[in-house]
Amino acid sequence: MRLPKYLRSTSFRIAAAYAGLFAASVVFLFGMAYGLISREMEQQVRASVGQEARLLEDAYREKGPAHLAYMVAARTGPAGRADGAYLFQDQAGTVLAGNWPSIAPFAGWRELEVRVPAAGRGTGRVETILGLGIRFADGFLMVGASLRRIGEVQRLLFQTLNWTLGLTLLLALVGGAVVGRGAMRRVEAINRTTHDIIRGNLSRRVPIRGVSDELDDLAVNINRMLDRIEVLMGNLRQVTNDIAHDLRTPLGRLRQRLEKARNRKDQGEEECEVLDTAIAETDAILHTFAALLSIAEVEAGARQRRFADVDLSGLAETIVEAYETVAEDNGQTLTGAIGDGLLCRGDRDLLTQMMANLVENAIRHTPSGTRIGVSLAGGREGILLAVGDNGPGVPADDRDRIFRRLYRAQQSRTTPGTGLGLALVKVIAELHGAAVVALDNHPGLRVEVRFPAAGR
Amino acid sequence: MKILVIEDDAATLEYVAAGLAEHGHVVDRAADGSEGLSLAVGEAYDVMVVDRRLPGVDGLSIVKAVRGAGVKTPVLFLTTMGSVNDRVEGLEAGGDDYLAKPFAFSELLARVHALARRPPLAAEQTALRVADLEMDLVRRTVSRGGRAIDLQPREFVLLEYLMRNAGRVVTRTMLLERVWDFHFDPKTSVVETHISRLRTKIDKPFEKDLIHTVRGAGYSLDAPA
Repeated sequence: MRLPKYLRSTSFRIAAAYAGLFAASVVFLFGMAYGLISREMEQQVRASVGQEARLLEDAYREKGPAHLAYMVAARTGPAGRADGAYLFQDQAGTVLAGNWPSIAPFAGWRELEVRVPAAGRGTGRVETILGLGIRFADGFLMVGASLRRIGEVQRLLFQTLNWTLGLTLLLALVGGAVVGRGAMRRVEAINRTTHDIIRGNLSRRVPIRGVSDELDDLAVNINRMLDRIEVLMGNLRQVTNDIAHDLRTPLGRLRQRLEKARNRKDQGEEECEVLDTAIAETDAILHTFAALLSIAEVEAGARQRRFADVDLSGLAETIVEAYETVAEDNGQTLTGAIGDGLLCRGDRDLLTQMMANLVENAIRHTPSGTRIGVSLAGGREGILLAVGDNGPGVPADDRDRIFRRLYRAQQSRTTPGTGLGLALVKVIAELHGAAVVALDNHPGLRVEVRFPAAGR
Repeated sequence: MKILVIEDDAATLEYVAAGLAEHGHVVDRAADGSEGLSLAVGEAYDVMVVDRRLPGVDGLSIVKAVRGAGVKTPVLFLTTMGSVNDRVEGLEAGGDDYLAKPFAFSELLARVHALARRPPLAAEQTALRVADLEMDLVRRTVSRGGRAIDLQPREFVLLEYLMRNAGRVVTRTMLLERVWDFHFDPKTSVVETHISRLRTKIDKPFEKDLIHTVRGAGYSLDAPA
């Protein structure tokens, strides 16, 4: 059985450890107090019993056994003190006076047990008597006092200890749980933020409460680290884009030279072939760079300034109509189920390219005979665009990766492409506040783009 | 034609100007904005090719000034980024077309030709004709040699664009922009499959082909020689 989460939290464990430590010190202090009080009370009992015994011994020595018997009888009679134990017996063990049965004579201190009958039925209880025995030549005197009071005080102490311990532990645990849950909520906030960041939203920051405790310090440090990472990522992206940007000029020149050579009148057929291939290769590199730069441009978000109302239904119809023939020539079928009059705020050109990339992705990565469907439907949640096929599909592990830059799934490595098409789809969707997911189409791949409802 | 090229990068300027001259055009060159502006306003050109980003007076300002001066010469912008923002801004400033660097010379040439001022079409023009192919723009019907040809709406738009540019090369990119409004480079053969569908209807049943493929450049619709 797993403990509830707050019982496993660090702060709660610390609280529990404190509670344990506190409880141990409570027990230790009580032990000390208990010992001290018990000893002190016993000392008192001994002192009073000793005093009484010496008094009676003096009486015996001065006035003889008869007087002692009289004194003892007076002490144990109805007018006497009933809380003491007295016994005066002769050599033969006959009780001369007292409230105690005859016992074997002894000298010094001894604890004696006596069964006190209960008021009603039942076995009653055993009481301990601390007795001081004095032997005389012709008899034996025992003076004792009940240790019941000490027992009562001890029991009281124990009860107090139990209560105190229970309360201490309860308070510590409840306090720990409360503190732990509070701290945990903050830690969870930190965790949620880091999850967001792992998913690629680098602009998120950990909330700070402003109480400058260690959790705040941690949050501040995490935020500093994130700032640093963001700067580094930005630099990396900047470098990538700069490279793509700066290499376009020399590549453009290269292309111009190749083109010039290709168009010379004296060029043979074979040379033309070679030059055409070289030009095509150069173009492929330039396209990759252009795609990288478009992704960067879309990511920068500057395009949002040009947002207008876009007729998504019309766009989807155009795309389906444009690619039907392409699919047909590949032996595939492309069909559309497009809802009417669906609008969204956005960039028309980018949305066109996004839909085209999705459809082209399906066309290029599925074999002949595949059925591809484009659907666009509006609902309370917003607008759902889906492109599905019944082709070979993408393994679950790869489904999130297909939106990464320059990622090529295992089975698509043989087909030409830059691996940037779906990455562009993702950044365009995100620019429009839409979420993109790749799903299993049983069989095949289904990519869904969910546009948020208008006004959100 | 008389063409003005305003471009600050010497290599690109040379490449464009020499290429255009090779194709029989008269070319004026300007290596910066202010020089370009004085030529553009002072001389009469059929087409201007203007780099979007120039030191000093940039391409956008030049075109705005030229349009402000009442010059209606068609302008082709050259942009480095090839980003949509550049295109939209260029068109808003009064440009007529744009081309992203680096480009194929055939692409530039086709666009310059398409931009060149044609004899103004009569406003009430209702039909296009190339050889025995006829298009009725009002009824949206097409016939060849008197036989009606049934076209899909998009095929009609594609054929209309080819017929309006009859005798000129139109590139794949130009068709994507004008017929589908696609401003990106598809990885599949969108243009090719539609052209081939159109050929099946326009050329196949007839003796002479009208739609020609120009290797390394594009397509042209031409009356058979």
